[in-house]
Amino acid sequence: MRIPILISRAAAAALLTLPLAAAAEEDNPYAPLPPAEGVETVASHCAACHSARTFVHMRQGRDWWDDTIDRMKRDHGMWDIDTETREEVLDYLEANLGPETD
Amino acid sequence: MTGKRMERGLCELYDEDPERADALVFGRRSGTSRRGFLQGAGLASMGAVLGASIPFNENMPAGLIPSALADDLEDFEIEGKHPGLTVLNDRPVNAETPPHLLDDDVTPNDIHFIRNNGAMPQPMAKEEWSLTIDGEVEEELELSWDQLMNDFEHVTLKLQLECGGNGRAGFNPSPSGNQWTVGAIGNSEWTGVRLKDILERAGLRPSATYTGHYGYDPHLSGDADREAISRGGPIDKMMDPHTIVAFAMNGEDIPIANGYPVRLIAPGWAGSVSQKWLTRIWVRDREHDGPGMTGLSYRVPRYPVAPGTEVPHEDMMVMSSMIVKSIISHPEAGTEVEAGRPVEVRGQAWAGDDHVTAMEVSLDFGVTWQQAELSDPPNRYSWQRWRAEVTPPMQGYYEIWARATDGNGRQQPMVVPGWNPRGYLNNVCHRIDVMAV
Repeated sequence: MRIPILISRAAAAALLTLPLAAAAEEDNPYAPLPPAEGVETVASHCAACHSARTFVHMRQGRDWWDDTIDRMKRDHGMWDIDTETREEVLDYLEANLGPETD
Repeated sequence: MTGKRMERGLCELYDEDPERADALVFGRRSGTSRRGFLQGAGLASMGAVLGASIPFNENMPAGLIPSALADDLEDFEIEGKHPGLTVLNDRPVNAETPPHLLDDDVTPNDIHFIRNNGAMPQPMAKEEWSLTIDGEVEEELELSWDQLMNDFEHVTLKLQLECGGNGRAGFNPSPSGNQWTVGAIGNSEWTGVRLKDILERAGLRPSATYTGHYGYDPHLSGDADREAISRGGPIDKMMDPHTIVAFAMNGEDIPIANGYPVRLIAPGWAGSVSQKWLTRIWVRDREHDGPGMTGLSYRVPRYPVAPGTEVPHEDMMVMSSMIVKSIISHPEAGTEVEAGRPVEVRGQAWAGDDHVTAMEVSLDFGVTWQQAELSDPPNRYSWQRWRAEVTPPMQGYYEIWARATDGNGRQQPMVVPGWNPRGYLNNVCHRIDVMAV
């Protein structure tokens, strides 16, 4: 049986997923939030008390994120945000952490 | 960061449609049976990426992401903790232990996982610390450190402590919360006073049914009027002689990250019952309703639900005991072994309030299983050591799977069990990859 040359696990994973990779993030000060319109607003309202690591893995629809803002206000002392800011946050979450986001 | 993003891409592709992912990434197509098989280019490319052929490839389920590619996570460091811990979050601090670091019978202080809900508190001096016992008691108590040292019998026990969300990363769709893999578990030697003795000193009223626990860690928002978390448990669990008010971990002061100077240990239940930085136990006449007790938190549906279901809050119930589980602590995933030679495999197994009665391992993707040697626990609620030897018959890629059975015959499943809204109680078999050369 032919045994291929051993390559490192990290190298293998990188090789494998290269076509799936998002844009390089070296220049993203809001990492792990994906860089996109509204990221600064989301970082300042949703990653002030807790890290964005708390939620960047989620893939949920706009209503779920809307409910989550309500829950943060009700249970965790989140401040009031005006409607315009809330819409900007939801736009970002829907576009970048929505169910169809890859 | 880039590597992490890339890897998420692969995992998510598998999450969305595993069989399509197989075809897309490896050119692997499933056969007519549930077991997929690797053919032609698919077999070659998966083998090339793994660096080996896969001798048991005909057994490998379709859409199963090879374990070798599924477990890389980014590492950070936390003061006083082993650099090998995987930090899942920095605010609040949450870090799990990679399974190969859980090979000790007794988990060292720097290895034990961390699960915080609030900010890491500034350590409170022992002289300033006190524990209030109030509510449904005949006499309210306020115990000082000296009273804890001198007025009660001390016990030392090896006790398993597991986060209720351990394994959450396996659920799809992804529930909110820390994405624990398998390492939110520890089994240190704790010294303390039985909570039972303290509650008996205070004298329980007949109305006493539940406890509510409080600690001095601040809420993340900095709001002094909010509790970071306040959970509790039924009086029966609190009167169990293994539920202790602990003041030492492995013979030393408890590290700040694990609850200095005093914490509760209610072994076998979700770790959040074991309040860190403990200052008050409120004995209640009803189920406690502090933060972490209500809504979806630390609750599971009363009936099985389809993945992604929005479950009404009134259909959720508080989790009680954790369930049967095991890890492979040796060898480390990705280890190279010699084909045709026996490989020692060992690990730990536990079962919440129950204990483990059998342990098995498989080297062929779960088609055949062999019995492992299983040690008795040194005391009730300790995890149990197990060991086995497996021999890869020829060169190639293998996975070692392990499964435990508890005293009621309940076994770990080979696929992720019942999805629930917050992702608790995933006790799927632990699996690691080894390469035989």
